[in-house]
Amino acid sequence: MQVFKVIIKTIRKNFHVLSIYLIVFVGFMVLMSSVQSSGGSSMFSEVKRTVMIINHDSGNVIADEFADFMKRASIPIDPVETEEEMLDALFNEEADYILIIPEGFSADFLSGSYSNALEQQSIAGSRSAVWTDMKIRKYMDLLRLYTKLSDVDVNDSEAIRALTEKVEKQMNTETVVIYPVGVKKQGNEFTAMYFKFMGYSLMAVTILGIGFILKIFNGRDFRNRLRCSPEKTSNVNIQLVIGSLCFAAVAWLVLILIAITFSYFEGIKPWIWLTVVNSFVFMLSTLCMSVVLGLVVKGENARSAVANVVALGSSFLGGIFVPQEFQSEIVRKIAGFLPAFWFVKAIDEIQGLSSFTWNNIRPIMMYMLIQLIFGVAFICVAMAVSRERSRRTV
Amino acid sequence: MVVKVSNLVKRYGDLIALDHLDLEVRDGEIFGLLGPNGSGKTTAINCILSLLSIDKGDIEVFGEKMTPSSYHLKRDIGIVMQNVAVVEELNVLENIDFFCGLYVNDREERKKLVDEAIEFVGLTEFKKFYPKKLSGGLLRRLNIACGIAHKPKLIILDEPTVAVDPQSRNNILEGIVRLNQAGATVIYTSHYMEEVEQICSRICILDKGKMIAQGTKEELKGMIRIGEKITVEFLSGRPEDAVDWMGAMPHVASVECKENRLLIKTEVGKNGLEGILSELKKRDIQTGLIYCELPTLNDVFLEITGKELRDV
Amino acid sequence: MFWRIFRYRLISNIRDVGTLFWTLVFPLCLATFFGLVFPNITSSTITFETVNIGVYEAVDYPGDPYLIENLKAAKQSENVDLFHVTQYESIDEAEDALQNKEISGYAVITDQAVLHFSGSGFNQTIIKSFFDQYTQVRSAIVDIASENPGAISEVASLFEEEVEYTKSTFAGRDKPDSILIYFYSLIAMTCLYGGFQGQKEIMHIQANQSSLAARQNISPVPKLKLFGSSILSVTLVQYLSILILIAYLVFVLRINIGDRIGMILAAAFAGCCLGISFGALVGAVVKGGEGIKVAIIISFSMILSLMSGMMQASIKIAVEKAVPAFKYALPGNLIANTFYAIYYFNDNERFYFGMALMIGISIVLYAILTLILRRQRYASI
Repeated sequence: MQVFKVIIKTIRKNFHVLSIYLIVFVGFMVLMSSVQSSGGSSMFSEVKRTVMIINHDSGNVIADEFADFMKRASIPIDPVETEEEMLDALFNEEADYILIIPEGFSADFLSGSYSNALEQQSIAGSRSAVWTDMKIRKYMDLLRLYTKLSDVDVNDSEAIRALTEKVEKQMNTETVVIYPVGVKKQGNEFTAMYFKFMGYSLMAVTILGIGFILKIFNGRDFRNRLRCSPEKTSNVNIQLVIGSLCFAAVAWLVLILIAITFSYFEGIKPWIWLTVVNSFVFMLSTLCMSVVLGLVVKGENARSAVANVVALGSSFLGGIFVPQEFQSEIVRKIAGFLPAFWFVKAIDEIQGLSSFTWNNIRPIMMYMLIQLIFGVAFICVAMAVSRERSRRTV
Repeated sequence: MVVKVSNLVKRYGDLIALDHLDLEVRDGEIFGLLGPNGSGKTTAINCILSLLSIDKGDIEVFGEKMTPSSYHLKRDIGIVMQNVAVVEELNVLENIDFFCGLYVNDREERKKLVDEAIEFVGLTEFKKFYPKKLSGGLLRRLNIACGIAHKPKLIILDEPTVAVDPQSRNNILEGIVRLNQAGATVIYTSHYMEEVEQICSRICILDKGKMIAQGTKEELKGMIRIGEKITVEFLSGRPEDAVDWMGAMPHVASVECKENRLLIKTEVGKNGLEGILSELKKRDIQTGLIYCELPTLNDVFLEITGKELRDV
Repeated sequence: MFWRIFRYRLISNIRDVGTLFWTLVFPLCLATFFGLVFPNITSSTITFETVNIGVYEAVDYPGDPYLIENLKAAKQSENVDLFHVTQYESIDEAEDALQNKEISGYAVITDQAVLHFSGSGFNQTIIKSFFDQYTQVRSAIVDIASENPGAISEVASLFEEEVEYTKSTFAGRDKPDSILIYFYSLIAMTCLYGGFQGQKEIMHIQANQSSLAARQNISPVPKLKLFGSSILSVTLVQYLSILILIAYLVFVLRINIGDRIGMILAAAFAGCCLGISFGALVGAVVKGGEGIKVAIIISFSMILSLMSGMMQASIKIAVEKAVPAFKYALPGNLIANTFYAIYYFNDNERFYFGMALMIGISIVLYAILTLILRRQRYASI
């Protein structure tokens, strides 16, 4: 049990370094959950775009009806006061498009001056600008058609309202679209994000912790002294493996409990247990990777440098911080060589689950298996490295 | 008087590190500050250098009161600290030039001084080495070179030989004597009494923050009653029986028995060896080994504190 | 004397690979990761690209001859077509093309148009939008004709003129791009990592923190002179690190962070001072070993980077929304927002405010430090 005790003491001594990652992890959780409760938009909205409509011509039928239409057709964003706030909103992608209806717009429209009658702020040439411009043009073209061709009294607001209603009615005419069946439903993004982020903290903590342990047990003098002791080498190795595993498992348990606690507030989905299993598998492969890194990298500074670069690098490339679907084909191919990539892929797959059929679960099992294969590969490398080393130095 | 410390008191919380300490270091001497670990040697040095705040007392260097901003005094002091204090990222030459540069502005002069210092400590071959690549002994020598390169009038060496191999140690000690011969006053602290005995002209013994003795080696040894220590190995007869009659002999201060040996301490100035030998012969006691030793500083320390210097 | 110490501190700082890893190499690594991951983000800021669409006209229905014409003629802007149209001879061909992702969708035109998509996305939305409009206008004309048959003749003339209903009043200096949040945050993190350098320099001159410092305190060089030359050298090294990072972002990763070079250099310098003075203060005030100080600096910079959006841009947005004062109160956000102001705002008010704050905080921190460093004797070493 002596070896095991040394492992526990090592970890306890270096706890303050490891706790930094725990703090960052909890910080992330708190921040992410506050993002959600404050209703911030997720960055990548689907078909509809966020539009901020500022109506300076309210009280006039055309402006009001148009504003209402735009609100229904988009994801409306609360208007802000100042020019600066508008710029902020655009930059932060809270609003993809800011539509300003100037004073006197309704009257101008009826008198026949449409050109450049509306003001907009958006990213020129962007998809969202194209989309919103199309919506506006559609409505305005129809309204122009109706106002031109039916003789209405410009002062008769009722008659004008009848026209806008006709326009709306026409706008509801939709083209028939045939979609393939079984489009995936979106799960709870935030819970998935918690579990993904947990992968980052787990990597950082495990690589560092195993580094601390291996630093001691790979020191030449220490190893030789152990060899001279009556303790069997196999016994030492078994204790080493169990100790490392215990450490990684405790780190995993702490992180997973935090993740589950936060998820609890978002509402736990049945698939969460599959995610827990997935993260356990990831822990195993990370542990194996840490052993390789711990054997190869020397020196205190280099160790924490490598831990940070590998953890952050895997997280960015593997899709922990930035969704995989937004990465280029090449990056995704490179990332395929990282266990983190398959860890995230499994979470995404689990998130999209609609039912627990074998067909649905099979790819998830595949991804977990790939992570385990990575683990085995790492173990082989570690064994090769340590055998080579023990042959060279006594 | 180069350094004059009077009535110095320094406390760390409840612990009294220096207890009304008085020191006088005279021009041109090698002054040894001897004491076991934790006796307050380094604290005394740091107080003299104004690094530590003091609770009571006066410190004068070169006849002036020492304060943290006595820069003109600091200019003439060289210090070799107990812990190696060199810049990791600078090589040997650069390190010495850096520290020397804190004292000497003139570039030409400094270059000369640095070269001399490197030569002095024998690091000529290691000029371009970084501290990490130096062995313990060489690193100590670099540490010394950094402290003395600017040719200070007063050199303070705080345990410069800790963890140094015997060969390097001798090298260092010889160097210190040479520095002294070149005109520098030296304060040397150590817990190795042999070193202090070897090179110091005057010695102060510290224990638990108190000065317990001060003077030349001879003066210190004169303070105790022992003149010589004589050890006699008995090949016949029981040494225990001899304790009484031996103790009654003239000039014998004390007698102790250890296994088959008798340890006899004689009074100062009078050598009783002849008398002891004839008495042994008279009683027909077969003796093996017989040898005399002069008292060491350890005996002084033992006599005053009742414990051995080495044990502490 | 001052410049000699400065020179040697400079040499030491440049050779101190351990610290330079954190202040230079690590940010460059992260920048590379960002560069790899972000250029392909399909957020709403992505530029519109012509949509590939397939059309199959059923033979037995005489379709609307103008529909395909209109599809081909539709433009997103002066030079960019909305659609690239491919006509297919059979539905199977079109379906194959759809499965091979050659087209985003295809329309089967009988007496009405039916759209076939393989999923829902932006391109599909654009296609549907176009067909919707087409149907709607047709249905509107029928509607009007039933009430006012005489008006029909005017319809054609109405659609002759393409009306641009909106005009842009966008007042930003440059294109909004939320991806930049990540890069600003990275610059902020690099500035804050200067804290390691500041802490290191304090350790080198506070006699109770290292024997090297004690050794220098005994020399005839006043402490504030030591401090001044040390901080100056470390500021230079750290400033160069930040500039290397910015150069890497601009010239290698081709990130557009604005063209006002003078302001960028100034903001980088202010951020650099902020980070170093923060670390130096931690070094001087916090009791305990170097490990604890470094841990504090790491934790702070990591959390501040997190708040300024390094791992999720939405975190920055949410944090600043919840407490608007955090835009300037959190050092990471302060640095990031100053760079943002350079890129995005014509009005320089935000930039000057950010600069004033960064420099002001640094001055205050340095003033406190000077007071602490004036104490020259220590209770214990």
